[in-house]
Amino acid sequence: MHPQNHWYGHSQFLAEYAGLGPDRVPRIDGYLQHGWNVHNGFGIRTPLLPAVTKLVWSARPMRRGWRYGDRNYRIIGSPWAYLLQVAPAAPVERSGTIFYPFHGIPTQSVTGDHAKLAREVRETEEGPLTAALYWLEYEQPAIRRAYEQAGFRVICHGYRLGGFDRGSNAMLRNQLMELRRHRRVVSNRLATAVLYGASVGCDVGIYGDEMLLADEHPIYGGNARIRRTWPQLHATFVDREEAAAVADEELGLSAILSPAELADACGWSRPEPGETGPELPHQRTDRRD
Amino acid sequence: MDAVNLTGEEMLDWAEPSADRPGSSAVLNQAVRDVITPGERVLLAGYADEGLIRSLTSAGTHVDLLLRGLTDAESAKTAYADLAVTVHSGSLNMFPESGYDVVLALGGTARLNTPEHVLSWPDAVAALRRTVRPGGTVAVVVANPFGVDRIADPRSGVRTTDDDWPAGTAARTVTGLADALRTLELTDVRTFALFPGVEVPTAIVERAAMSETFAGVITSAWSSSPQHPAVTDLRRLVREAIRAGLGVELAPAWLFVGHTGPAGASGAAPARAYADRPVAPELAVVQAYRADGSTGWHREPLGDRSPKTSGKVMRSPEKLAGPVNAGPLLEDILLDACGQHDLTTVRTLLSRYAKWVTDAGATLDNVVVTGDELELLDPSWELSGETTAEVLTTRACLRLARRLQSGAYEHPWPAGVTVERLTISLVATAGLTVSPDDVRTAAELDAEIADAMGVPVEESTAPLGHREALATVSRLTVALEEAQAQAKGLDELVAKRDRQMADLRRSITFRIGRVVTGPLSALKKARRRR
Repeated sequence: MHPQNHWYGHSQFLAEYAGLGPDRVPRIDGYLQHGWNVHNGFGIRTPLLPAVTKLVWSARPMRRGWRYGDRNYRIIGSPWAYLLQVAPAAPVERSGTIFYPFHGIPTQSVTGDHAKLAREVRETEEGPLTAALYWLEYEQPAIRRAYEQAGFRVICHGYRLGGFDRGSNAMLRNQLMELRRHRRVVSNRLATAVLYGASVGCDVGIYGDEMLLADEHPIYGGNARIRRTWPQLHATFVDREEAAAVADEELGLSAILSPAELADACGWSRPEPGETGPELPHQRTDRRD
Repeated sequence: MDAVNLTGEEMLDWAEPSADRPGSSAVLNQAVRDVITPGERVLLAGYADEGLIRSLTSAGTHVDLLLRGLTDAESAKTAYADLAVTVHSGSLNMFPESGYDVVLALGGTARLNTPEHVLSWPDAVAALRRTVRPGGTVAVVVANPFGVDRIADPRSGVRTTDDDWPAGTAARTVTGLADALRTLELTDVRTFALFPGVEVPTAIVERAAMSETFAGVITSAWSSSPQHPAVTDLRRLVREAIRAGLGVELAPAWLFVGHTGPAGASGAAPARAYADRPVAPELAVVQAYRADGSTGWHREPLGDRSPKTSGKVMRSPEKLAGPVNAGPLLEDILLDACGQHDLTTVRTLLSRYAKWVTDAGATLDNVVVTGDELELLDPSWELSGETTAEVLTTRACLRLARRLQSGAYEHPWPAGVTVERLTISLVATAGLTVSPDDVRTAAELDAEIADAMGVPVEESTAPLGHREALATVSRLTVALEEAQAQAKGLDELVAKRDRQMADLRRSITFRIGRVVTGPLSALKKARRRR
């Protein structure tokens, strides 16, 4: 339906959970929310066809969408919630802190002092430090250097698109593996990665210069509105239960669908037992994004 | 404070839609001002009425406003910049302030929720109670999910506006009066029934005062309008609910006023009611009713008592002071009599009315029957200029005819009769003769008065509700069957007459007659040709 449905390998995790078998990227009959969002589950600049089903992570984006006249929502929970189901945790010893600086996207850049931020995290956190940069920032040597010089291990989980063709729906799996190895997840803004971290047992910290995002649409109300709505998550050391509760609600962890219902929501027919299943249409793209 | 205080979960570009009914908020404001002692700090949650805010601040009270829509909050910030008002924007769910002497949630609880979080009814009550100091006052308006307006609303339960969608997801809503009182858990609680609904209630009647005395005042809150289609005539439904002793239980909304903490030493306050007709604000006069000994009710106009004018319509608040004329409404008795085909009662009452009426304010729904007398329910109305009793009677009958038709009431006149024709019949029942032109004059006068009063003209003769539609279809089916039977009967009569004519022509008598008259008629034809 929409290339965003395949970002981060989302459609793959859903298909795997729904029992369509691995390595399939079936087309989803609807728009799938691809990141944590404070509007209707989608970017305000994302063109959506009316009446097409919107598959969202939780009730909040659905209610916000309703209030702006959108209809046809179906809450399915986040693909992350399904990844946790298909990639069970192996016991790993946790240590140190993984830091996610607020990132931009190709059409909206972020301005801020990474070196200062790296110092602040260095001074606050104990143990080994990892800086997980979005590919956009990772490809800028100056930003990488800012963290390296502060003693961070600098990593990038991967690209959000193109993963399937290169056999790397790996981005989210990489992120899951890294988060499970760290004791704390820290960011300068409440964002998807923080919720992911909280969902797998990381302690949460949100602090430091929140940086500036270019050309932000007023409908989101800015980061100030996020701080007002989730004040309990904006602290250097956040209560673990509070963070887990927000992650549970926002990622729909405890409200995931059964494989049959998920297949129905996505418009897929599941193979009969013993059958390999019909060839499903899939989306291919080589665009790196 | 310079800006709006953002307390979390505010709706960024939201302004509450304005009420789509006539009437002013003065009735609710006056009622609330009458039954609460504001103290130093008052929170107005989800309701920002200028009259109430100015009245509270002028009494030295600091007012905090909590509005979910940032657009509304910013407007309020500008409007009340010179008053002791703090404006907060956000949801009740996240509102952090507390310790208020009085908390007023007069716009219902739905407006305290935002799409971020929709509180269940018990959670909303708990959140409201958290904001008030121990022993403080809580006044809250609660919409009744089983109110007459919902029962009669063909769109009941249908989410129509974007705002209805998130609001419809509350995990648990209030189920009824007993549930509301139990959950609120207020002491010294006073319960008022609100009509016609949460928006601009124009009749507010305390539980102990609910009786047929107020039926006329309450039903005047409604007028049939295409904007508010109903499955049945609401005025009839409300009247019957009050007669059945269910006026409070089935009210569209309630106002509860009470305290947190232990009950006070003072006994129960005497029952009150507050009301006005739903009219333009420049004509509004809020009236307070209190029990007058054991004899009846005493009425007092509140606020400014100077005469008010709008167009040809004048209102003198002074005339409202005094005992209330109690008794059944003339219109109700007439409707019942029409339903029973009791033309004697209709004739007696309309004749008496035609002789008695002197003023345009005396419409049938504003006249009560006390024994053998007719009295005005609301005597404050006057019309400038001369109007004859005949015109006034015609207008009253026109309004009754519209009511009979739009409410699909049973009546003794033919099915499918036009309003104009029915009016002429009703006026004739009163002993007067009028022409269609006179009915049109009365209709123009009625429209002029409605315009000046700021109320819709009740000219909708088409049935708006399902019940009315069914009743009309039933009546029209009968009328059609009768008309078809009549046509068939006439056809048969013509055929019979033709047969009789043919038989006649063949008779001996006819032939002898023709022989005698034949030459004469031939001569007549010949002369005509010439």
